[in-house]
Amino acid sequence: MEVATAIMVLTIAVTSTAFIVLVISGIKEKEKDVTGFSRIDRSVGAKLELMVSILRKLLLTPSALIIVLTLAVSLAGMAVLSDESRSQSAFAVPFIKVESNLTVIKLVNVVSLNEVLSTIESLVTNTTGMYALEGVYLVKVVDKPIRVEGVRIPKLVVVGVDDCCDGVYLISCETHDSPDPPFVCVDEDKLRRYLYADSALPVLPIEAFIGNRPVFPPLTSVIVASLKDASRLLGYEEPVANVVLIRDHVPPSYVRKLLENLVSEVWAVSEKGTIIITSKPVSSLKEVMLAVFLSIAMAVVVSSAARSMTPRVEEVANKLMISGFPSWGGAIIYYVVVMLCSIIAITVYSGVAIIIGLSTSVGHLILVGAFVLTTLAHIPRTTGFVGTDRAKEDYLSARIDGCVINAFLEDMITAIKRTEFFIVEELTIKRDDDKAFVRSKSIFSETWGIGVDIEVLISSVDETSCRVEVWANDWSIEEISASLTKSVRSLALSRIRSVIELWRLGYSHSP
Amino acid sequence: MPRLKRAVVVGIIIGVVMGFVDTYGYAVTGYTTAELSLVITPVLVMVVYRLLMKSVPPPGEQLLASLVAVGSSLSTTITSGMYITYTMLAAMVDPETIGLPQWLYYIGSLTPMHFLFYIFATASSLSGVLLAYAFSDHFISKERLRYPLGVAASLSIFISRAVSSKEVILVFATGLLTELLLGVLGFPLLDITPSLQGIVPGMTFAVGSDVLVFLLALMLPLSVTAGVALGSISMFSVVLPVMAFAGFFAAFPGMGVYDIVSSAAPITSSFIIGYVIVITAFYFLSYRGAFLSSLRFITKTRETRLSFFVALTIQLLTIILASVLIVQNSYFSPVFVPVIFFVSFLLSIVTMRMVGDTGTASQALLPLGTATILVSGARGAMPYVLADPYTGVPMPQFMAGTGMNVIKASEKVGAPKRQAVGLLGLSVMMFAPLTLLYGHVLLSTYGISSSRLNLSRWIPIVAWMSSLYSGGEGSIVLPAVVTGAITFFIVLALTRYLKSLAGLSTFAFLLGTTLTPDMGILFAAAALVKFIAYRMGTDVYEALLAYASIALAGAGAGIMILTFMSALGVV
Repeated sequence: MEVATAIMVLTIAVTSTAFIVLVISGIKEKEKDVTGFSRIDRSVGAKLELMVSILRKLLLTPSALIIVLTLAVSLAGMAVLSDESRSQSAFAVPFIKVESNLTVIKLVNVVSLNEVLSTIESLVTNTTGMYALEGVYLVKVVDKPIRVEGVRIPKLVVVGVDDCCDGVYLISCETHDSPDPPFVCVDEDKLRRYLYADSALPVLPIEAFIGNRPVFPPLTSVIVASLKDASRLLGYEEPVANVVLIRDHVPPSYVRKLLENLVSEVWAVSEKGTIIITSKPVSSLKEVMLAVFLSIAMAVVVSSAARSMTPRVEEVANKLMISGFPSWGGAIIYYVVVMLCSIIAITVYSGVAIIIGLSTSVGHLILVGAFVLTTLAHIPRTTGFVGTDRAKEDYLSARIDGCVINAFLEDMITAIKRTEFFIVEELTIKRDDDKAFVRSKSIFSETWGIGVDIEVLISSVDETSCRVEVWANDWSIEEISASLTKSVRSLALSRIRSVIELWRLGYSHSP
Repeated sequence: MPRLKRAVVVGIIIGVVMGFVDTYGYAVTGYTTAELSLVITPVLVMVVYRLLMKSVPPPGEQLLASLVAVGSSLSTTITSGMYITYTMLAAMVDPETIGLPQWLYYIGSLTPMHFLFYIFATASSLSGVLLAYAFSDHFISKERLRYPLGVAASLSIFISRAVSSKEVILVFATGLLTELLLGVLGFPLLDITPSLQGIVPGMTFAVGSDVLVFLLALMLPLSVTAGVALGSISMFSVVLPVMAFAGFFAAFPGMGVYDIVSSAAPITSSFIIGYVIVITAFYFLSYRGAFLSSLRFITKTRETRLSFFVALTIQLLTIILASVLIVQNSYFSPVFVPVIFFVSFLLSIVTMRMVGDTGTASQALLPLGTATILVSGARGAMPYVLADPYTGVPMPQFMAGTGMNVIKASEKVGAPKRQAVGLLGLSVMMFAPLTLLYGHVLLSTYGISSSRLNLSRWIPIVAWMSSLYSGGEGSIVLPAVVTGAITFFIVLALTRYLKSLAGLSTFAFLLGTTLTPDMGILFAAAALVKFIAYRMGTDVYEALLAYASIALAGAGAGIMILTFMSALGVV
């Protein structure tokens, strides 16, 4: 352990030193002036206001209203129909196995022991009397931790067992070897005898599944007591229970009756695996079929409404195009209108569903999917999106006769610097006898996050002429389409190009 | 007061509060604002400066003060976060059986060994920040990666300077109030998964209301947001139903989205391992030339060389410590020590690359580290505690990713890079003992089953850890590993040959597979909003980013208020 401690101390020392050195050496570094984001373009507000006024006009049309109502009514109808079409379901769990057949009956709520016995026993003993009642339990996960000998039991599951010890609470000796009464510590094998009807299946609640393996709470978190004592510990006045174990399997007809009476789940466990029959409503194929039919009906109505909306959208888009909106503005407007319609419809449905207690199911997913597909099919075709290509680097090359490198370089620098569209962030100039190199990094001043890097290499070909090569590469902080960045790149290059053209025409050294 | 001193004082004031908030938030919700604190703290820094110093700091100073506070948030993931996790593990399985030493979890008091180990683990994790410093030129200048969280942090700094403007206050308040409202309502979740199990077992669908995630998705580039959404939807709509049909995990009617997520944990982890193996190999093969030249460059410059070798030395010391502490473990072969060291280094590099695209790598790449240790035949907790970045304590990968975001932010605001990195490292170290103490105080006060500190969310991961430490039977599912590897090639082919998916990030897809479907849906919604805003013009798109970053800061402040309200029993 000494070696381990030494390594730990050494690591801490090395790391701390490294960062202290970095901070100290960083003090010499100067803060750079940067062009920050200091404004939110006012034109955005105007553009959004325009959009809002357009949307308001389009949303207050009969077509939009029909779309909203159709979707909301379909969703509500689906909820009502799906509630009726759902039923109890059974599913197999092959990996929970026991040596002998068992039936585990789990009740929806905790109920009094007498009521449990009258419900279960009447169903069981009314048949042939061959089913043995293995045990009645109260299983409850407790939120509040308790203290034993001043030590907090971090998580607590209280299990009341009908044939357990009276007047004492059994806990595991793993954590508490000599607790004060009424707690008594027992070894975990003894606890297991109360909790496991079979070596593979405790009456404890399943906390989670990891893969196919159920995870039960550890025995160190469990308190076992008699039903009477456990009920009292949990604050019930009379003995209560919520789990019943029956040796052997109960016939399906009785299971159905059980599920109608206080019971939420019946587990039929055997050496081949487990069948879990639940009263929880589960979606069925019938529900899916209903959703498909309802979707078709909804699609017909929504299609007509969307189609009647299209000319109006196109009309607005055409007007906007004259004001400088892109050609695919109509599609955007259509998208936003449809999106808002669906949000309104879903909000209305959700409100109604919460108030009158409707449930959400797979059918709703199918309906919303069908709605999206239907509306997508009606995007104004004349105003579809323009595709984008990947940005490319621009390269220019030209030979200039009558070239004076110094003068040409000066013009080039002026062209790069003197522009109202760009802010030059970096400018590197290198001059050799027969060569000059300029590299600039400029930020487009009209928007944030777009810039252009330009490299210019001027080399003399002979005494009177030179060759100029220009590389321009655009970049953006965010993804901006190639068509947009190309415009910015072209704008930057136009200045360079003009200098080259002027020199080629013989107008040298502009003031 | 000199600038640096002022920044440190303000940073410490905020850090003391944020450390508590993140400890509590991490324990209860499983999510932490630690990675996002880089975006949130600049706004808080500005508020403190205005209130206490009656001045507006320069952007560089604002970032440095933020980094001191961020150090506190980051340290919680290593100290209090893991302290609480191991306490849960010790409550679930007998610590002696899995060889979990007492100085890792709650035993009633904090011993000097607790402090020594967790500070060591913090120091070891910080090797990632040094690696980030060494490789920053490669990733930022050569590969031109965006590091969206770094950019968001710089945006947050620049916009918070206009904090008096009505728009900024309105957007900040909207983020804060929305988060508070949803928090009071218990973050409503529309979960169709229980009824879906009757038709397609294993498929999940849920719509969540996590504002923080939605705003983060808005901040990321569109190709990344769409990639994350596609990854999540593919995982929970295609991969898991197929695996459930094959009987690899339990999917019953009535199981909710989080039941399925925990039940499918071995499948998702295995899937990720397959995907990560292939994407890592592919990435290094594609960039081998650039990496070799970067390595040459790193060794030529004094500072980067020093940083690189110190980082390697710290990682090596950690592995040596792991070997020393588990020397009695007869199952563990020393041959694997260099392999584990190499994989850890590799994961740090790939995490930095992934964060360049996605802003946060979450823990998407780390199961590969777990698999390496499992394959080495190691048994018991110690090899994992010391060498596994996924279930263990030292997390150099997480720190490397955050370090890159910090460097990007410092470049954007013009702050001295070395000072930024140095301050971040020192503040993480400084806050480590305090945040460990926070974790201890919370456990002493609430235990691990109180409704005020509801740790039930951690049960699946802790159960998976216990199974892993006990030998790993069923922890890795080979068909899922193969599926993960094949999926990478499918995604790669789609992005290469399908025009509509061109530019989609394969790393973002991977991140998506690790997120729950409710978050995947939020990412899809964010992608749609970004798509529309982008088509409305670059100015609208920029405004969306700017407002999203301020709203994110507001939502983060909302989480802080909710945490205090929850701890006081108000909600």
